[in-house]
Amino acid sequence: MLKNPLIQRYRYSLLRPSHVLVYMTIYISIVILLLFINYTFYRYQDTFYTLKGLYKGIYYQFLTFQIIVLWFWGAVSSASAVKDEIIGKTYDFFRMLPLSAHKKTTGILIGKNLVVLFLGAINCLFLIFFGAAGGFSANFQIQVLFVLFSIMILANSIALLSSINPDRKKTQTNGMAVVVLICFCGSFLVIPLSGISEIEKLETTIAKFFVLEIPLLVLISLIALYFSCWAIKGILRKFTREDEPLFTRKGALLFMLGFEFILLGLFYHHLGTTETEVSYAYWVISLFAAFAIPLGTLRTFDRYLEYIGLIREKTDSNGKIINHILINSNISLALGLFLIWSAFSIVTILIGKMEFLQGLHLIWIVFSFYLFLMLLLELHVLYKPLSKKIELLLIFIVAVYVILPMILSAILESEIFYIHSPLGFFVAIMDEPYKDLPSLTSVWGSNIILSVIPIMLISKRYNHILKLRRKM
Amino acid sequence: MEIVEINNIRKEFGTVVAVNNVSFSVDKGQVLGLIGPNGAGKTTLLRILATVLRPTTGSVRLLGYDLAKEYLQIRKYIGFMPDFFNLYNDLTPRECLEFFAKAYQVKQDLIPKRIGQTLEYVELKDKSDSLIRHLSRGMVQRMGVAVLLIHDPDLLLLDEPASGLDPKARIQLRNVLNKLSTEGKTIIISSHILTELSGFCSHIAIMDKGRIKLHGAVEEIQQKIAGSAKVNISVLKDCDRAVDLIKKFKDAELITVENNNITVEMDKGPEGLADLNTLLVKEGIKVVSFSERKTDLEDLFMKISSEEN
Repeated sequence: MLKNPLIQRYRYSLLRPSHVLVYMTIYISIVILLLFINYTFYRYQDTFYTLKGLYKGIYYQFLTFQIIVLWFWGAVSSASAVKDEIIGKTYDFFRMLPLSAHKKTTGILIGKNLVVLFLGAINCLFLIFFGAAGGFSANFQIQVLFVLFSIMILANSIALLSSINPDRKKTQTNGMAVVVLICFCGSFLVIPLSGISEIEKLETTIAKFFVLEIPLLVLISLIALYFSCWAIKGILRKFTREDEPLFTRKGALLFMLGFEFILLGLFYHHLGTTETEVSYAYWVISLFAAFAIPLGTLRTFDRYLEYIGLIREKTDSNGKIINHILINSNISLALGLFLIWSAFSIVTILIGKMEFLQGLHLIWIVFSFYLFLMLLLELHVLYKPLSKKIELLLIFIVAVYVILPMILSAILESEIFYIHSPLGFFVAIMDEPYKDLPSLTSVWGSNIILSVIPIMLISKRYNHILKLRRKM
Repeated sequence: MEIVEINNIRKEFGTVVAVNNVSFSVDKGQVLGLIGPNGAGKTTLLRILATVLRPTTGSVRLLGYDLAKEYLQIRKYIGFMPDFFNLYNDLTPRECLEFFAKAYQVKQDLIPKRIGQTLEYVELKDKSDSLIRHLSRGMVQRMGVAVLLIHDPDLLLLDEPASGLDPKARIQLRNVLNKLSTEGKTIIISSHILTELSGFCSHIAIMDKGRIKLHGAVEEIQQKIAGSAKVNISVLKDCDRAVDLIKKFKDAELITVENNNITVEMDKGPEGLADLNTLLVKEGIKVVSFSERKTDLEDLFMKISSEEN
């Protein structure tokens, strides 16, 4: 693996003697400072009381330091690799390298993080030493190292994936990487920082996944590794077919299935024993995936145009072509994802012993919200070539769709408006039992009526693409 | 032996058809100049051949490999210099070439020798250990050629290689490219500056609006469209009288008159030229020079463009 030319290329640029000298000076200074301050506290302030307490304190600080190095510095390095190639105008040479996508990925993830990995390895030695001296068991230390490295892989792979965007402009930042880092790593960072005095308890904290009982840190690591696999698969796809969407349609459905399965595994233990709120919480969280995945599979206007061109080589019948478009549209994929979501939601209804028909009715209402929002997404795709500002208009519509019913509800002091907002709907079903909810028919009815206009605009645009294609 | 076989390729970017059903082939040792105005589709075509872009439809075989399926194999045997590029500023030319040599799977024991030879070839040996960020634009362009050559590719693709270079760097680059063509490398080079390709290409393909308007050996095409010759006549004095005589001369059409320099287009062959020259001398016009100007790429391109319009 170390023979990978990309690793050697980064070794040249990152590990020049002058650079190593700077890194090592800073690192050694931080370590000395950390040890000195802790010792001073121990010696003169009685903060740690015992020598074991001192070692524990140092262990926590090295753990935090390790998190910063591996999760944040590492992710920033990985995210800059392709971005630097694009901005530095070397990306064409990079693309042309006769290296497999796999080699390019490992080359960047390891090569770009040579300094991070080097410092991480030294930190590990400190962690093991101070952990042992502080009385942490080997089992706990292994679990901590496992979680550190699995989340490092996840953060790095997502950061790299988000940076593969050949249309990048100079000023663009890795927005997605930042969001992902906050979401994925931030929550894990809380563990060592907030529960420093309780951290040993993590060793014995057991999480349930369906009926399996797994140590919490191990479960977090396994889930992180699972999503890392998807992220790496995404990187490989981007390096092979960078002009294609991140997910194939099959991949999107598989990802959704996996996501739902994992989430159900985590919720399973709670579903049968508590109130219906747990099922609804599951619905809301899993619905995020149904909204996010279409963004990664989005067929653009250009792609539709190209696709119709290819179909027209086989058939010239308008009806057949429109059928092909519909089957392969963003809408049909969204419907597929919603079907998976519905199937899992029905499982939660059964496990959670909810009233079956009531549950189905609620799923139908969620569908009406989902349909309207997905139609807006398709409108964005189809009308973007006409106006770059269309997304601004659509964001405004979504904001009004979500907020206006709640404002009206507050002004008129009537709950009937409240549940017309998707946000309000979920709050309402969690707050009140089904029988106390105001008329739900008006909710799905209004959503269906609202969907008529986007459907008309979309079909008009599909026909326009057909005409456009004929002229080409 | 055909190095490049292009069959009906088409590349669309939305409603724009950048390359429109293009088919042609390039044999080993040919130097093909892709000529055309900006936006003609030259860069897109080259990027498809360089495996950077995928064609929307159609097929390409490079060195016998199918571009759609065997692009990783193809990359080992081609070198591509994009129109706007830079190299790794944080590396020295030596390190940069070592990286590319390893990536292109040049045998480990050959790498040091190959690096030395390539740096010498592009006249950058004395800069081999300076960081690339300290090189001038012309030097970086020549480093681009060095990267292109480090794995001794069978096919070179150069997209506007002289763009953005000063005249000196342009001449240096041209010398390097001339050397390559005399060594029998198969090259496809694009440019919209026609003089850049004159006297360098064995074949040309004229592109416009995504289509190949004309393709073939330079002489072949010159013959095909020749028919008339342009004659530059320079007289010492009596320019007006010379112009009158030319106007009266059958089969000669006056094109321009500027400072005792007259350009004439003639339909007749060498005999006509000799007759005109004799007439002018006989009438006492002091002819300083009388030369037939060969149709160059610029004339060729202009002629084809005007036929199109």
